Amino acid sequence: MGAEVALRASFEVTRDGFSLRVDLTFEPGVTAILGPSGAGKSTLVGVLVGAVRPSSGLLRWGDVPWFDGDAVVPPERRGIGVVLQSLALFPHMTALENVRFGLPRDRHEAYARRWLGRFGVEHLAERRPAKYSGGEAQRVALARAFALDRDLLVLDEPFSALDDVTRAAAIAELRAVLAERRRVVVLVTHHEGDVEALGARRVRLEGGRVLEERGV
Amino acid sequence: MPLSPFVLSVEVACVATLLAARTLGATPGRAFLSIELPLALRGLAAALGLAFARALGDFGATLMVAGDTPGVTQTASMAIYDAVLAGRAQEANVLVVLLSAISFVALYATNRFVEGRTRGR
Repeated sequence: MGAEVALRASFEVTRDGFSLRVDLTFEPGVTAILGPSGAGKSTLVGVLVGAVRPSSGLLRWGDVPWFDGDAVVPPERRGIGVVLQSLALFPHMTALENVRFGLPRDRHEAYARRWLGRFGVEHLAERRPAKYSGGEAQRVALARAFALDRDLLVLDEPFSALDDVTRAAAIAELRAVLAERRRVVVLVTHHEGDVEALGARRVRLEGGRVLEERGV
Repeated sequence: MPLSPFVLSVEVACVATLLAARTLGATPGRAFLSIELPLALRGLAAALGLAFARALGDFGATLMVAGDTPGVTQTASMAIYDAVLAGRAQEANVLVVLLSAISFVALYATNRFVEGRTRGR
């Protein structure tokens, strides 16, 4: 089964003197969100994952409303695989425990280990995040998000701490995951190279507005 | 004052990690029990250590509010004070050594616990 549904985001957020207004439809495939700091990328991610409530508008996953101007569906009921910019690994848990946290109880340990392995960090399975390098932490966070096997992935600069080699490997892994099944991926990035490597649509934000929207 | 490490640790644990837990399917209750509470334990331990040290050395406030009744409201500091005033120097010295030792052990144990939980495996 693939994600043939789309994420419809047409809303406005006003807070702390900043206003973000978007009218976007995220179709299956990768949509890259580009833009300078302060463009509204993090606010957009916040709204998509359920951390920020829009002031008005709508947010809908297929036919399911996540925000309709009134009620908001909480993050745990949206079913999104998320990599936050801060990664937010649980510091008191090992990599294996981090990955298993979101998995159903009947998912075996081997499954979580396999995902760590796919991102080349299986050797960290028994270690806690304080022992990871920046790139390793990012790969554990990717494994944690991908292991959920969700139809919608929101990735906020997930490759920023990776060197060229591991970056290419992580992008290859993302492509492989997308080849297995159609999914909607929202990727915040500063790297044009990521956009090309993933054949992504691009949305450029600036000052809280969509400046450019371009398909592949 | 002793509560500030605890409050700070709860606030730090709250933001991104709790959101991550929620995106991983955790209800607010599970996020609190599995993430917020364990992460706040360091702060709680630091707060308890500071509160204990503060209580151990308390003198003026207890004297004014509760009085200096041996076995009831007398703190270690007040016992030392009384011993010095009564000319029981040996008793005062023993209490000073005892109080210092307890303070040292309490602070050492708190630091070990806090550091142990921040260190990776």
